[in-house]
Amino acid sequence: MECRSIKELIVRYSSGDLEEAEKVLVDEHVRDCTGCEQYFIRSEKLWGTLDAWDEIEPEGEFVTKFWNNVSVQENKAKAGFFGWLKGFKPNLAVSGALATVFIVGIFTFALLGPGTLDGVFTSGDEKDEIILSELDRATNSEASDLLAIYGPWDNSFDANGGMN
Amino acid sequence: MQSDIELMLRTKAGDDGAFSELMKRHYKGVVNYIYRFTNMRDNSEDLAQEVFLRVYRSAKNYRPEAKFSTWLYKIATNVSLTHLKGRPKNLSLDEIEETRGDIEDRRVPITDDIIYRKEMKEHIFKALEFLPEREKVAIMLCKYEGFSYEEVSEVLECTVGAVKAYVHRGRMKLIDILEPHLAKGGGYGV
Ligand SMILES: [Zn+2]
Repeated sequence: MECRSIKELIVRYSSGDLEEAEKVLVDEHVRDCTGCEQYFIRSEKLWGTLDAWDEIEPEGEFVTKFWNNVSVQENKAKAGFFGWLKGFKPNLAVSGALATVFIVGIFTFALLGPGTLDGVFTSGDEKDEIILSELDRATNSEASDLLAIYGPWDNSFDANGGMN
Repeated sequence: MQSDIELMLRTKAGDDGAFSELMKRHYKGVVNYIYRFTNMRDNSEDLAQEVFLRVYRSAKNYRPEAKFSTWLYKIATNVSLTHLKGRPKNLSLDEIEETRGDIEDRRVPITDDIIYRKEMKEHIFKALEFLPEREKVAIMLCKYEGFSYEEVSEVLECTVGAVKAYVHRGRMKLIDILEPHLAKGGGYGV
C-alpha cells in the first residue's frame, strides 16, 4: 500500500473510524516506514494539541443581561409611534409654522372664496343679480328666435317673464 | 430533569423561566464555540446573546424535529460566519493580538505553560482559519463541543459520510499546518 493511502488510514485510525483489519494494515506499514511512523505520531497528538486552546469563563450575568436586552427591545417596539413623534420634537417650531400657514390658508379661502356671495348679500349684489337675470332672459329670447328654424320652440319663458 | 426540547416547548407556550434554564445549560458552550470560531473574546458574549435572542424570537415556530443543541449550534455557526465575513481577512498575529483585547491572561502570573498555550491558541486559530468552512465547523463541533458525526450532520445538513470526510480531510490539513508543534516529545500529546 502507498504511503499516501496509509496516511488517510492513519487519520481515520486516530479518529476511531477504522475497522480492525485496516488497523492491522496500518500497524504493519508503520513498523517498516519511518515517514508514516512520524505521521502516525503527529496524527495521534493532534487532538490533544487542540486542547491547548483553553475555554474561557464568560464574564457577567449572561441570563440577566439577556432578559435586559429583551425588555430593551420590547420597549423600543412598544415606543413605536410615540418614539416616531418624539423624533420630531426638535422640529416643533417648523411643524408649528407649517400648521399656522395651513390654518391661515383655510380661513383666507373661506373668507374670499366663491361661497362668500351666499354668505353676505348686499344691495349692490341685488342690482347685479337683476342685471344678470335680464341678460339671461334676453339671451334666452334671442336663442329661442334662432332655434325656431328647427321647429316650434317653447317661448313661454319670455311670455311669463320667468320659469313656468 | 427536563429535556431541552421540553424546556423549548414550555418557552413556546410563554414560560420565560424555561428559557432561562435552557440558557444556563448552554450559554458557556455557545460563548466558547463563538470565541474559538472568531478568536474575538470581547465579542463572543455579545454574539452569544444574539444567538439566544434569535432562538427566543423563533420559539413560536419551534418544532421538535431535531436535537435542540444541533439547532442552537447551527444558529451559532451562522452568527459566527456572518461576523467573520464582516471582518478584514488574513490578520497577522500582531493584529489579532491588538483587536482581541485578551485581558484574562494579564491578570495571572505568566508561566511557560501560559506562554505556550497563548502561542498555541494563535497557531490553532490560524490553522482552523485555513480550513474550508465545513471542515472547520465539523472539526470544531467534534473536538470542542463533543458532537457525534450524526449531530454534526444535522448542523451542516449533510450525510454522516460527508461529515466523516470533512473531519478526516480537516485533520490531515491540520497535521500538515501544525507539524512543527506536533513533533515527538514536544507540546501536548494524547
Ligand atoms: Zn509509509
